[in-house]
Amino acid sequence: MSTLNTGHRKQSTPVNWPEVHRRLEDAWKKTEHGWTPTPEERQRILKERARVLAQEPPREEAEDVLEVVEFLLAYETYAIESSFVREVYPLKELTPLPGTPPFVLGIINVRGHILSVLDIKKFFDLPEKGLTDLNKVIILHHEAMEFGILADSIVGMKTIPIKALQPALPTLTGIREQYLRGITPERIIVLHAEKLLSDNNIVVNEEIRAS
Amino acid sequence: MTIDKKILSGYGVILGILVLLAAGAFYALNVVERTYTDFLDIDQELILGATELKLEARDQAASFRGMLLFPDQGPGFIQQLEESWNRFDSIIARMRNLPQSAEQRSKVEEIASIQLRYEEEQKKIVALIKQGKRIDLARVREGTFPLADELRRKCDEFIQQQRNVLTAELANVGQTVSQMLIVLVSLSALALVAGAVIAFSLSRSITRQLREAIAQLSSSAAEILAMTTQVASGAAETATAVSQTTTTVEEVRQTAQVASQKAKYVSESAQKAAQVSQAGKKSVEQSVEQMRHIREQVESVAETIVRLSEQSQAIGEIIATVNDLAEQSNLLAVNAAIEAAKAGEQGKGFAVVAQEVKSLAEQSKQATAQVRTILMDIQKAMSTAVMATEQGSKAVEAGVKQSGEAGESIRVLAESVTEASQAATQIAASSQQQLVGMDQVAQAMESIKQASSQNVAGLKQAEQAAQNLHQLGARLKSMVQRDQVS
Repeated sequence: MSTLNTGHRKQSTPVNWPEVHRRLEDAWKKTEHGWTPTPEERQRILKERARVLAQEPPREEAEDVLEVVEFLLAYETYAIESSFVREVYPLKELTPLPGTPPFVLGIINVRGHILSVLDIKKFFDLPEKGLTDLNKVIILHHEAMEFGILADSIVGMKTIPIKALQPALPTLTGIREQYLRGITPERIIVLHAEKLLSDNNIVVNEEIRAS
Repeated sequence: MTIDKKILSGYGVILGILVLLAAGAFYALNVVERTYTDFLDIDQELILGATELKLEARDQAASFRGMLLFPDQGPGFIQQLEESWNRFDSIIARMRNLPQSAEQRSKVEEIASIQLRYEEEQKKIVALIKQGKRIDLARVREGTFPLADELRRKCDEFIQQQRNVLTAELANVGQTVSQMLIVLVSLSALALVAGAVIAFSLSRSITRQLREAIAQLSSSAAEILAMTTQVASGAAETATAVSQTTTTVEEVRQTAQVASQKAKYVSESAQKAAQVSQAGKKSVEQSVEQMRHIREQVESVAETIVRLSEQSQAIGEIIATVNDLAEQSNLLAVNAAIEAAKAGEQGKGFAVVAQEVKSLAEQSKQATAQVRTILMDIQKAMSTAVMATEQGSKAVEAGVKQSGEAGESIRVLAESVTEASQAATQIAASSQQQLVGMDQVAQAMESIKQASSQNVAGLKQAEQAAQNLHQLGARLKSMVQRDQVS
């Protein structure tokens, strides 16, 4: 009886079936014609584009700017010089490698090229702040050195004026000063890719790994 | 011993004595008559025969003498003689045939033998005469005369003897008759005495019984009178009670009529209720059918929703793929930007395109995120809908069950109502019969009333009759007492 009563209570506002049919019809029509935007939508998109195009492109000088790849790692935004970035790649089919330091996660196959993947958090002895995506690999290269570092996600390319860079407090971030290039006002931590790539620690490790 | 038996036995005794007397008288009369007949038939006949024999002997002697005296007329005398012989023989034969004593018989035989000898002598003489010879008369006298004398004497003797016998027997008969007379007289005296005794005793006993009976009759009549009076008063009371009972019966009859009407009304109501319950049963069956239909619909809805859920899952997969594609596009855009940066000044245009591609990929990602959100909402709504339909299905199930129970209840109710209807019909019929019975009882009470009034009348007559009986008893009593006195 209780179920019946609740049922009755639920049905106390009778269903307006014509309204329901109408709404379903509308939804169906919308789905059907969803691929062609409505005139208003079209107008809105065009206006947005016009607004974007109307913006004066920021003036920049070749000496003063730094082309970086911005990425997220452990809820912080990092950036690395794009000249040392060969490409970004999704983390797929990571093979863990035994007998390596903790910051070496394993190796991946990028179009037939075997690369080691490092976790710079562990490399920098940063504290763990919970699990994150860690599904992107930024492949760095300099001279003979080539490896990938993990990232949660890639934000994109960015140009940073070198003047805007300020030395960050090492205690604040915990990253060793030698690997830091600076920090922007937008709190983007810019890594020193060249130093990172030519670090002996990594090489030593590589030797150890090789041996 | 009843009175008629007493009277009959008294008369019987007297009649027996009378019969005895009559029989004795008859017997005596018979004896005397037989004796006299013997006298007449035998003794008298013997005397007569002997007298005739004497006459014949005399005739023979006369004829013989005539023959001798008158030889010329010889043949005529001879003929007479022969005739006389023959007559003599026939008389002798007749006498022999009569019953007689030995003495008489010897006398007769003696007479016959003498006759025989006499006849032979005569025949010798007759033969001589016929031969024409000379007859010696002396010899004839010596030969025939003594015989003739003896014959006559014997005959006289026989007659005398017979007379003596007759006299003796007469005396004997007289004695017998006097004895009989004595017997008869004594018997008559006995009968007289017996009759007197019986009459006296009968009269006494009958009178005593009659007196007792009359006394009883008298007292009984008195009792009957009293009883009749009582019964008459009782009958009057009965009449009152009967009239009261009649009134009560009338009331009961009216009550029965009311009960009959009520029972009819109840029967009709029960029949209507039975029809209504039949309709209710049908409605419940229809509602059960509807409920089943609803359950099917709800199940179909649930199935549809499940299918929708599966399809939305497919959409989710597609969206995941799209998201993946957007991600890859994003990466590609980044890579393109990196390459453009490497290209320096020439790569600037390409960098713009890469930026544009990247922004598109971002937008796609956002769109897919929105779609995913919507899809999650949809799936939540679907779960709710599925649960709702499940509950609805259960509710419908319960409804079906309850409808079934309701149907069963209504069926039972219908049966009960039908039974009640039948019972009410029976009650109606019974009360109708009761009504008829009450009518009959009323009629019977009427009859009883009439009968009791007739009874009262009859009791009055009976009272009168008892009065009469009482008077009759008194009269009878006085009659018997008068008889006693006289």
